[in-house]
Amino acid sequence: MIVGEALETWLNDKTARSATAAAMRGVAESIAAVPAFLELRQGLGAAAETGAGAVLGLARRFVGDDAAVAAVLDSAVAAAAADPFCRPPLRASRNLVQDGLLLFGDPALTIQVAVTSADALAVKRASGEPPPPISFTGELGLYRFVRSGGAWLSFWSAPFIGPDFTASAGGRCRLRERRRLADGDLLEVDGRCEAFTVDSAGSDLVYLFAATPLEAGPVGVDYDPVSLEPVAAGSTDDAGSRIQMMLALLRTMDRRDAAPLFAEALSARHFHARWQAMREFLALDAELALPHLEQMAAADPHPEVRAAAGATLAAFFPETAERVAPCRS
Amino acid sequence: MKTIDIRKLPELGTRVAIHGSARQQEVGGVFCAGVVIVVSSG
Repeated sequence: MIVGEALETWLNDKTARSATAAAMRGVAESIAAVPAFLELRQGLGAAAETGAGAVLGLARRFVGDDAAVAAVLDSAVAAAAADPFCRPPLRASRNLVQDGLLLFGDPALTIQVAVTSADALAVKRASGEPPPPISFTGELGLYRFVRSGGAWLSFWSAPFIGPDFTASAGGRCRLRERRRLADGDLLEVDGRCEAFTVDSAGSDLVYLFAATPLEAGPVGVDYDPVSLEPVAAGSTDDAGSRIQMMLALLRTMDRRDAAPLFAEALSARHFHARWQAMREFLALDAELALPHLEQMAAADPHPEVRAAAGATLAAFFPETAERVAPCRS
Repeated sequence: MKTIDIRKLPELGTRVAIHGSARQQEVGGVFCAGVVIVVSSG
């Protein structure tokens, strides 16, 4: 961040601000014109209709194209070096051990470049903090390690996270193998049943990471690294989570005129979203929700949703519960 | 009209948190800024 006199001068100089804005537009245009990017954008629509495999196939070509990645980064670095107020249009991510830039963002595919610091990794390992969970993201992704850092990775397997996932049937994850990375290694990771962790590294890791939400499981699951049992689950559906929050807001505002939206949300793809929509609907207008609740109790494909719907019928609509019997248990 | 206190409605046995990412679609496109690689410790 630039503060003080330099910032004040820039803020008071309309010409300088215009030049910075033009530089930012210029770098965005030059990045968008990189042929590999054009190819990616042009092919993504059709690939997304085909499925996650086709999308990651496109991504594989891009992350394997060092010249294309270098062109993107060179353009951004040159623009930032020429004007310290120019922020290239590559969103940054950072945590204690990693820095990353989003190279490509689309609802069907994200591609990042990132650096994992070997020093920060060593500090973290020496900190005595409890080991972090082993995270199965629920999504399909691929990694290309441009610089492996001589890292050792542990590869883990877990029961497949499918549409009917339940924590009680989540089983345990297991260590499949430990392996040392080499420069240029490409890893395809099905986050519905595969995960890896970095055990150690001799130097920084530089890698490209592509992920698609297509064909994702309903949740990502964290496993405890000691007991190897599931300890937490989170939705893989960003838009669905936002819809849940909007339903909660509409219910809090007593917006019964929005009932059709609640009814529509009951057919969400993921089991947890369907039940949360039903809870919101019942809290908004239980009479309108009741026919849907009966249907859910009888025929929802997820056993926990059927059970919760049935329990709700029994508790709040006992006269109805008697005539509704689940098709499947 | 009948309503039910949402706190009295059952939760699923599988508790699921909302999507935990820092996606910032509001300010510039889809972006999962979450941790990409998990680091072992200990």
